[in-house]
Amino acid sequence: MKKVLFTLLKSDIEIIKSARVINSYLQNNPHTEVSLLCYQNSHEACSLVKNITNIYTIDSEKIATYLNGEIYPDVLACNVFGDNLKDVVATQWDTVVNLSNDNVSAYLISGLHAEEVIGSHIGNFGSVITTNEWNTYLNSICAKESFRTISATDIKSNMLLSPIDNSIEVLKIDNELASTASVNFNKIRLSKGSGKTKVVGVSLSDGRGKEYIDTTSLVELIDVLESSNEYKIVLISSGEEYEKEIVNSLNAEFNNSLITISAQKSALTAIMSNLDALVSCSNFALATAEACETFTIELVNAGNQEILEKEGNFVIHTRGGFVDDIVYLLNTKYETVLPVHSTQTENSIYETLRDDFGYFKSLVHGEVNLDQELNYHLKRCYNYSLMGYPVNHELLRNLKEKVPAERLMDYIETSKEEITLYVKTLLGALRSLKSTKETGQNTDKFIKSLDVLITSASDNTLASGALGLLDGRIENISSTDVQDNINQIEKYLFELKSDLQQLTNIFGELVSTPKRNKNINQEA
Amino acid sequence: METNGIELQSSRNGLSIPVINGVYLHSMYNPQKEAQAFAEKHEATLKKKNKIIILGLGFGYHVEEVAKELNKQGEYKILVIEPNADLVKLFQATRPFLDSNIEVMSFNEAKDYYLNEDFTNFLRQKPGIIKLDTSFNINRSFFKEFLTFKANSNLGEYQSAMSPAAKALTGERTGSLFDITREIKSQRVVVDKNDYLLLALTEIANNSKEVSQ
Repeated sequence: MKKVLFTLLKSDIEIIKSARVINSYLQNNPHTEVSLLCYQNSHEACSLVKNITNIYTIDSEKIATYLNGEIYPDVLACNVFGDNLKDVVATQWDTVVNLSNDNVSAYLISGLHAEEVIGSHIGNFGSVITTNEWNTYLNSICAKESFRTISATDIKSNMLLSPIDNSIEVLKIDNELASTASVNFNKIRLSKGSGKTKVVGVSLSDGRGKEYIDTTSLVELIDVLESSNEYKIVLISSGEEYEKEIVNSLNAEFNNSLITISAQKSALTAIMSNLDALVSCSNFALATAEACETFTIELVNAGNQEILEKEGNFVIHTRGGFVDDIVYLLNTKYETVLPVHSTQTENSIYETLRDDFGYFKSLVHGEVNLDQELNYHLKRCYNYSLMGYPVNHELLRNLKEKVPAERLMDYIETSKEEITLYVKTLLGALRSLKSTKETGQNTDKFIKSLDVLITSASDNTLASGALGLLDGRIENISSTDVQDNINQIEKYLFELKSDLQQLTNIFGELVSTPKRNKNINQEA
Repeated sequence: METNGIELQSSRNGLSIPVINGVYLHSMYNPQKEAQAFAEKHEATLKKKNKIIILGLGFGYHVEEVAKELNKQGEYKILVIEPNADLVKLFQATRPFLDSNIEVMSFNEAKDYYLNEDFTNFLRQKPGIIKLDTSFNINRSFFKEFLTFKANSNLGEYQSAMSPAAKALTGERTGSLFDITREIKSQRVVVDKNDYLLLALTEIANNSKEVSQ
């Protein structure tokens, strides 16, 4: 049996979202025992993931208190850490994976005995090493993106060379709890007079960016759904004090008639698998519902990153009132006719979908920011092509057909100006690098140009993925020989040139009237 | 009765009162009434915290009154710090606490408490701290050191307190953990796998600092 360790040293949400990656890996790699390493306060979340042989934990809170407190000798932290990890350190692993792509894991996995290491880790010379291009993408591009173009699940599954399997169950459901939940939920449905009543859960927990559903919106939503025989609201609470206060104030509005379920994380799967829909901010309940294949509506502030990826759900990027949007989505999903005040909305509603490349989102209703949509879809198309996937010609055809030609031209011209600047810097870097190689001069110019290119990866332009890859590739250089390093950097600069040409080709395909594609050298 | 320099005398209402170097640790008239007054004096602390450290065992009367107060509010835990091991032994032999929520800890030196896992776990829960003045005054230098303790960060000083797993990580290294990891980072090449683990360890602390900032 192969022994594989995944480190997941970030949030509980990330742990739940990694469940499909991990279980798909198991599907593709039978005869494997998977263990997880997480922080102690994430043990409950890790315990929900199916098919895990061992869960190892690090008591990070204790360690941090000991190391950051003047009254505690460092030996206490060493004892806790050493004892927490002794079995992990003693094991000869076949593979260790830094699945959460965090700093602690990067050091840690380098210190373990493993045949194979996958994911960002620290090399002998103290720099970050990535193990393949998808790992480089995860490490160098994702952190700089203001919006995710390729989903984290797809990135990780590509990194592991393990296609996502959407048919498998990935979270454990306690049979007894599920059975009790099923009985209770059926009673809830029948309380409205019909076994066909849809039970809609509303999670009261704050989102990961501290966003929340305000009480006025909650009252409005409850009012609409409770007035209908086709729906029944259930409030989902994690038991926090502030949520209890919300429940109290809502019950005061509704004469104590509301049903509230206060559940620990370990019980959520039983609840989610019995709900017909969940409305939630970006929190643990939402991630669990998605993993349990519950129809889910995520509320996120416009401009923030949603957590939903799996197809069949909806994300509302909110700018104003959103109750009508939720009702609209429920009406669409369940073919009901709940009343809405207005079909106009200032929000943007996306459906989560999946194509041959991976998960993506598509605007289905509401405010259209054309530049934003073009940025998202074109960047996704380009970033996938950077990673070796074919160009999404169907997307480009659709854009050509549906976006007014003039608008598209404006967008392309603006983007081309951005690329031109990068190309100028790139050519400057190549020229000064040539001079450095031949005469040892212009090193400063070369370093300055290179620095501009690398920092431009945070610009959030269409080309920033290519610039991020350059950054990651250069960081991966581990040679101590100066000439070797220079040659490698030169190679990566030429790769960047090719990558930027690829983007220009995409523009060429988008332009309506056929034009001769200009060579990058000529444009510079 | 005298045991190891501790004399036990009887109060007016028949309760045992230890006397150390001529100092009565409790009232000779009515130690229980005195203990009630002690609990009342610290009412505000006892209302806010259900975990309490009491400096000085005396003969436990004040501790029991504090426990009574805390019990009114629900769950609680009391840790009594008493450096005089003979007093503790005498107390356990005479009238030990029946309340399982009360624990007495006795070490000679302040640093031994901060090496004790039970004590540090308790301290991490941010307990309230109150003192029995008589005990405090007899052991003033000890309690002063206890309250102002700053750990020696040199790992070399704590070899005997290191677990086998921790020893395997740190080897023969001395200095603070941050000094050790600074040294590792200054090396051109990392040669020992355990060095990566030590770097991971300090990274956990750094992450926590960033979060709290």
